[in-house]
Parts: sequence; structure tokens; C-alpha cells
Amino acid sequence: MKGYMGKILFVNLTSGQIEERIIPDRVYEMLLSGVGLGAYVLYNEIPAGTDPLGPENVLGFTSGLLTGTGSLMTGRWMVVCKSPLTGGWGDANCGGTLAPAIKQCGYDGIFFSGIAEKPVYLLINNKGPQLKDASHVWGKDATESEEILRAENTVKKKPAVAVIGTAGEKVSLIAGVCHDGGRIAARSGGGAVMGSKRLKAIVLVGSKPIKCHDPQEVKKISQAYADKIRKQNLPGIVKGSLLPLMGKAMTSIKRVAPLDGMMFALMMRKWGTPMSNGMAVTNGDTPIKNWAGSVKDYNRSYYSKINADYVIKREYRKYHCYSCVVGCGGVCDISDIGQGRFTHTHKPEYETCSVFGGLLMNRDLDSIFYINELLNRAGMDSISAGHAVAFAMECYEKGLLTPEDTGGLKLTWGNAQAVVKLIEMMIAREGLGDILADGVKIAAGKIGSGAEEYAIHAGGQEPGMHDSRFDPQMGVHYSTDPTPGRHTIGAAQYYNMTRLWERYPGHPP
Amino acid sequence: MKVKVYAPAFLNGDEIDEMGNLTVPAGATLRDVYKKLQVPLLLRPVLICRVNYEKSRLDRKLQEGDVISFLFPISGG
Repeated sequence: MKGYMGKILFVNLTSGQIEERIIPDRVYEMLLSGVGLGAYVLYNEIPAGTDPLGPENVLGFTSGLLTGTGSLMTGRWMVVCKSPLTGGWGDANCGGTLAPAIKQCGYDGIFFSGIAEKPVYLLINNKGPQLKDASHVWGKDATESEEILRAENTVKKKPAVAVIGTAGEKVSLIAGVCHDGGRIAARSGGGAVMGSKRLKAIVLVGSKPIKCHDPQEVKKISQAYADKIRKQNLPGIVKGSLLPLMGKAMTSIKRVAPLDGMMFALMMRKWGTPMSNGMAVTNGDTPIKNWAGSVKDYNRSYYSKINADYVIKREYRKYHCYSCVVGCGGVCDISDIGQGRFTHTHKPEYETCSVFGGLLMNRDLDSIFYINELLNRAGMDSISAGHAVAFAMECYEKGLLTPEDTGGLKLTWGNAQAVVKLIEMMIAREGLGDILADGVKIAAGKIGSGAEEYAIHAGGQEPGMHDSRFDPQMGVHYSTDPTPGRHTIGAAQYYNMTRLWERYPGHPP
Repeated sequence: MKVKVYAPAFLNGDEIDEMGNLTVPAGATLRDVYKKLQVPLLLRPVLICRVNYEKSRLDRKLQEGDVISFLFPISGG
């Protein structure tokens, strides 16, 4: 069986020791690679009761079994660790270009234990793996750091870089690991673990071939799928203004029918995930006003302002992640926002648009673009950060937080300027921002006085922007997944879309 | 013959079985499927439908195993 490299790299940041470890074939046969490989290594390496921010925690970066074999849609990489946010298993995944780079260095995963004495980054190039001094980029944001490290280490091939921003350096429990100037493995606090280890980045410049058993058959299957998706283009008459109407229509239908997920590509190719910005409000999927409101509050005068068409109006370039033919990614011009502090940002995803939109009763789309770039550079999870702001707003409304507590900020619903300022405070860990930077559960514990009532989380992690009252199976996964609060693992919609019962007898339609 | 149909819930899916199959006579066209699904005439110009993921006219003759998919959104991201 090919497709995997058969070994991992294990780095002890305390001692500086770097070793290759062979992984038996039976592990891949049983657990595949990716998250499975991560679980295998972490289970065997992390002692029970380990402090997630201590030296015994293990942080891993894994690629997938099919990555690099020519298969489609298999370009995601995973960050795995014991989560400081939930105290249990933690993983986050991300697109971009890092997944094949891990295997091209000769490994299926790269794991770190220990804590470095000074900030370091791991470089893997034709000289092999080396720990390098990162003091010159420590304190810089993720985008700037990535640019510097890439420039320093480019000879012939452009390195793939995964890096933390200042949020991870300051061990914010809602920090993630950034990549490609706007992608992030955001959830579970992986960035905090990386920061606690004083590991700033991994920089990968490998060129080993990735083999598979039957590359011609893989190519044939991939080509067939690619042909289907490339033909999917939405007619020009379908505008973003129709999407909220579609959402409303969904609420009038009393029965469920199987969907063809491939058709989803039409909408993803045009808008990306912001296609849901208005539609998910009108169909009840988007949580509103810290989960206490509805479309009656965030009505047309609000959701029309964050319409998908307005989002892509700023988009000047589309891009594809590795091995993806949909190409939902985009880069947007924001040079006219925030006095031109940033020239561009990656197109904000639905999660970011809605957590800083409906959850806060905010209809200022420009502020959402700006916050998107602030969080991408800081390396902070937008879902958790937005929930923390919503929690603070409800506490302010209920009198649990005073203007003195907020440093004079008026945390009223929809106050976009206050939201931006609060996010900056969270990134810098200043004032109230320091309390919120570790997520709502810890913030509620510190604020007290019944604040727990307004802290929306599952096992310590803030849930994705999908109301489980709309899709109850999503709620099941929020509660029971090893990474609680996760919206990407399972839901009734996903079950319907993948039509598992057609492939596995015994599953109900 | 059997064709696979993924139709929105507001259309008539009574004749679609649990595996998504719809039985139609040999030589049936996409228009015949629309009739079985009772697609309202007013909706026909705006419903986005593909046969085997290709844009198709209503008079397209179907074959055994063809997949007929309608666009219906899910929210997510």
C-alpha cells in the first residue's frame, strides 16, 4: 500500500533532538493518516493528566493519506494536540498548500514535544530538518512572519509555511495556526500550544515524490470528478439578492429530500461560503444576538448589508487550495477601509461574516473585512473571538460589565467601532481583552455574577455559526465530538448531501 | 428504466424510491421527469437542473442510470 511516506518526524524542543520514526503499515491500514495518525501518536506519547500548555503536550502537523497522489479534494492538513481550550482531544484543519509539503519532506506528520528555551522555527530543506532561531520574527504578525521566513528560505522552490501570530505567542487559548497569508487551522487552541512551546513556525521545502499504487486509476477518477465540477457555473441572472429568498423558501418546506452535494459547487465557485450570509439568516441557521435572537431582530435591513454579492464586489482574485477544483478562495481589496492600514484580506468566510454580523447585530460589512484581516494576522480563531465579543455585549447589556470594565467602550449591539477596538484589545491581551482572549468559558469564570448564562460553548469551545435548533444533528455533534463545538464533522444536512445510505446498507435514508 | 433524481423537497417526490431512483419509460426525456415531479411551469425557467452534471434541454433523451440533479442550497461554511 502506497500513498503514505511511512514515517514521522519527532522534534523535542527542550533538548533539540530531532528523530525520524517509522510507523508500521498496520497503523495506516487501521487509522489511515491525517487525524488518525495524529491520534495514534498523541495517544502513545502524551501521559494522562498532561498540562496542555506544558512540555509533555505534543503538537502535530499531519497530512492525509491521499494527499499528493493526484486525487482531488485531498489537500487539507491537520493540527493535533491536547487542547488547552477543552482539556481533551484537539484538532483543526486547513486548506492552502502545506499538506503536500509535509509529505514532500518525506513524512506523514511532524510532531513536537517539549518547550524551546528561545523562539525557534523548524526548517526542512535538502539539508534535512533543522531548528532555527526565530527571535527576529517573534512579535510579528503571522502574515509578516510568513513573508520573512519564506523570503529567507527560498532558493529554488517557494517554502510552505505554517506560523503563529501574536495571539499564539501570547498563548491565547483561541489562537490558531496560520498559513498562506489568510488561511488558518483555527480551532482547539493549537496556536496556543505552539506558542507555549515557543515554536513560531514550520518552513517546509521538500521535493520527494509521493507515490501511490495505481496513479493512472487515481488520475482517471480525479479527472471524472473534475470534469463534473468544472461544468458547474451559475447563470448570471442568479444574484446574491435571491439567496435570502431561497433561505426563506427552505423554512416553508416541511419534508426533507436527499440533495446532490456536487451541485453545491455552482454556488461555491461564485461566492464561496459567504453565499450563506443572508440565506442562513432567513432559514434560521445563523445564530443571532448571542444565540438569543432571530431573523426578527437581524431583519432584512441588516442581513441585506452583508449580502454575498457585496462580499465578492471587493474580490479581485480567486484562488484554489491544493488539489481543489472548486476554487472558493478569494483575495479582496480593503485599501479604503481603516485608513488603508491593510491593502487586502482573504475573502472572509461565512463563519467570520456571521459571527461578526448576526451574532453581534452588526451590519457594517467593512468592519467585518477589517476584523478578518486583524484576526488572520494575529492568528486568532474568528468563531471563538466573535463569540467572546457577543458574550461581552450581553454581559454589558445585563449590567455585568460596566464602562469602567470595558475601558470606556460602549459594547452595545451592532456597535462596529467598539467591536473592532475590543478585538484589538483581545489580540494585545489588554484590559477586558485579556479576559476574553481565552474564550467565553474562562471569561465567564473570571467575570462571575452569573455570566456563565451568557457564555455559549460546548465543552469549552465556542460552536460554529450553525444553530442546532435548525439542524438538531449538528447539536449532537457539538456535544459529543471529541472536539466539541465543531461544525464541520456532522449534521443532518451533510448526511443528506452525502447520501450515505446509498453506499452503506442499514443506514436510514 | 431507472434514473437517479435529486429533487428539492417542494417538488413531488412520491415516485422516487428510497435510493433516489425514478422509473421512467425507455426513451423518456427530461421533460417527462419534470412532469412526474410536477415542476410548476413558472419555475421551469429558473430551476437549475443538470443531467449527469451537464446543462441539458428538456427534450434530452435519458438513459438508464442517468443522474438528474437540481440545485438546492444548503447553508454552511
